[in-house]
This record gives sequence, C-alpha cells and structure tokens, in this order.
Amino acid sequence: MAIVRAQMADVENLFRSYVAQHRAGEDPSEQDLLSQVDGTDRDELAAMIDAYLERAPRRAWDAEAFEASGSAPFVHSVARSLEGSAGLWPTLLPRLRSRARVARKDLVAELADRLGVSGRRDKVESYYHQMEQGLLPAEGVSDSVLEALGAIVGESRDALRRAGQSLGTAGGPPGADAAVFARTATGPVPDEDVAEVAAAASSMPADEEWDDVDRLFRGG
Amino acid sequence: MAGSERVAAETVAEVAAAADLSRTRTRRRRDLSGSPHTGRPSPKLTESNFRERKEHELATLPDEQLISYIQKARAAGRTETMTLALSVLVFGYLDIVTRRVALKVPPADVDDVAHEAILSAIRSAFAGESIGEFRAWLNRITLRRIADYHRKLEGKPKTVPLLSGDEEDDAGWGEVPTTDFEGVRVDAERAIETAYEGLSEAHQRIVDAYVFADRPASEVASAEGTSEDNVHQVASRFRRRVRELLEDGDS
Repeated sequence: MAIVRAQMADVENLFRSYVAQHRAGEDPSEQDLLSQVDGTDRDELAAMIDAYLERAPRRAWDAEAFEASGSAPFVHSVARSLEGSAGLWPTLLPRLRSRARVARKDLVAELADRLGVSGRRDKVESYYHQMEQGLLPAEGVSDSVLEALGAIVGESRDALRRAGQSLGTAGGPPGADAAVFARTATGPVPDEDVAEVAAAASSMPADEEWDDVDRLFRGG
Repeated sequence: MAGSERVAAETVAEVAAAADLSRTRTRRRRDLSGSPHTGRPSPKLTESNFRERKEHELATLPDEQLISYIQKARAAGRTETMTLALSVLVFGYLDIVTRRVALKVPPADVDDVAHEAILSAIRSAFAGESIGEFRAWLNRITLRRIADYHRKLEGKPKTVPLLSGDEEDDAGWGEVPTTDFEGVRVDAERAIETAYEGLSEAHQRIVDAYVFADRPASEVASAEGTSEDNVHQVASRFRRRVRELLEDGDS
C-alpha cells in the first residue's frame, strides 16, 4: 500500500507540474515528462495528461503567438478549401505530396506520364496547381486523374474524390472560376504562385478547343 | 495545487466550464446523434447584412458561435474576416490536439495526424453533418485519427524522412529507420473514462475542477457544498481506481 501511495505521489507531482506549466502558457514536453517514469506509471501519467488536454479550455487568442506558431499556412489552406470549389484538396493534396516525399515537379512529371500526356507536362502542371489551390472544380476532374494521382501519393481514388466534395455552401457558385480567382488573389493567401495560376487559367481554351489534358481535368 | 492569487470570477467560470464538460462527456453519445447542427450558412445571408466583429470579440465567442460566424462570413464572401475567425478556432485547438496526438504517435507524424484531426472536425462542421458540440466532436475525431494512423501503419516498416525540407522543397528525399517510439497505449484513456464514469455526477464535477482544472480544494469544496477533506478523498479514490484499472488491464 505504501508503495502504491509513493507511485501515485510521483505521478501526481509530475501531472501537477505539467498542468501548471500548460495553464501558465508554457510549453511543457510530454515526452520529457513521460521519460521520467515507466510501466504503469507511464501509462497512468499519459492517461492523466490526455484527460486533462481533453478538458483543457480553448487556448486564448494571441495574434503574435499565432504567427509564431507556424499555423498560418495551415489556416490559409483551410480557408482556401472553404472558399474554393475543390473541397479539402487545397489542404490535403500538399500534405499527401509531402507525406509521399515527392517534389511537385516530379509528381507532375509522373502524373503526365501515367495519363499518357507527357508531351503536355506544362499544362498538367497548371491544372495540378489549380487543384492544390482549390481553383479547379473537383467534379470536372476525371477518375483517371485521381487514380493516377492517388497511385503517386498513396491515397485511393475514392478518398481523393470524397475530399474534393464541396464543403457546404461556398462563397460562389461551382465553376465561377473568375470570382474564385478574384477572391483568392485579394485574400491572405501566401502562395506567390496564385497569380501565375490565375493567369494560366485565364488563358485556358474555350470548350471547342479542348485537348486531351483539358478533358482529363475538366471533362469529368 | 493552484496558487491563491487566482481571481474568484475566473475560478467560478472555470469550475462551471469544467462542470459543463463533465456533463458533455456523460451525454456525448446523445449529443452526437441528436442536436441538429447543420453547418450550413443561411441562404439569406448577404454582404449587406453581415455584421463584422472585432478581433477581441471573436476571441471570446464560444465555439459554436465562432463556427456560425465563420459560416456567415464565408456566405457573405468576407475572406479575410472568415480567415481571422478560422485562425482563432484553429489556434485555440491545434496545440491541444497536437499534444494529445504526441502522446500516441511518433514525433515525425504528429503534425500530420493533428492537422488531419482538425481538418476532419472542420470539414464535418461545414459540410452539413450533425456533430453536436464542436469540442466533443473534435475530441472524438482526434482519437479516430490516431486509431486510423496506427491501423494504416500495421505491417509497414517504420521510417522517417532523411531530409526535413518544407513542402515545396525540390531536393531529393530519403528515409532511414526510426528508433523505436515508446508510444503510450492507445487505450490507456479508457482507464480514466471507466473510473470517471463510475463516479456520481457530483464527484465528476469535483474531479473535473480539482484534478483536471487545477482548482484549489477549498474553492471546489465551497462550490460543491462539501468539505476539503471530501474533495481530497474523491480525487484520491478516483486516482486509485485509475491505477487499479491500468494494473489489472481491465480498462
């Protein structure tokens, strides 16, 4: 019994220390704390910390801390998802590419090869960039493209299709590319490539001029 | 235990919040299947009738009102306003979610899983799904994404990137085997949940306020109309029960 009490006291002290630091706005390391105990003590401490975090109040807004946290690009990608016409693609596609450890130019090259349009790599790049920016209506992107893309980044075609589904009512009607471009270009989007992509999109061919690449990315 | 300098108003609010959370936990399943939270902005919203709030106002809005505001800003085409409110929401929870994920996922994958959890919760809130209270939903989604991560990992060799460049990095990639990550048992939280759900509602409030919200025993005792000794005893019994469940593997 005495041993159990001593164990509880150690875990309790560590837990109290963690809570006090976190509530004071400090940055306690869970792993450092857990490394001080093992076995059941470790499980107990981890479970207590997890239960505390589950109940912890929303972190108070601090604009400076937000900028310093490195979360801004993530938030902007979520905002693009809400603004755009491609569901979560603006958030998901860059992450999948990063997870697969594939540079964008390599992804585009492989995507063009897999689609049998390796001679039109520039156009594939432009379309893929629009997908990442949420500027290309997801419903127009063919299964062939999603199949090929999924094979490269390790995700299923269906999962990519689901991710591209609209997030409720967007700011503009589907297919209103110009409006989407305008909103995105004036919004807080840090990606300097947006203007370039918008320019590329504005020079996209009219329906009667579509080639195979247009049909793959816009023909559904 | 917490210092005595904390102001009474804050204390009362936090104990009340802890009690709310306690009630939220016990009715979580009911919330998730009931309470229509459509997530869709009103079709009547326009730029002209959207009332923009100041940054400090956004910071004090409860989750559901903040989400509703984001939806309205979105419907009104107010990109910057929407992004600011979204920042408040994400900043408020990303740290908490990341820390929870870090308890159970190797460091190299923590950000990815945490972002996925936040994204899933936001997607649900905005895609018209019925999610109940955002916080309870986020908690649930976080556990799901952690479980998904471990499911996907089954049978795969453990690796980490050799280079840690940013997403746009065109440099080559490589992988090296990881050292073993001493992760915490994914089901360890069940011991807490089991012990917690075995308490009466009054004792749950005491555990929330004294153990998890770090309130002084004297204040908790006063709020609950009981003695400080009883607060200590309730907390101690709760901790012993958690320990027993973990040791018995009966959680």
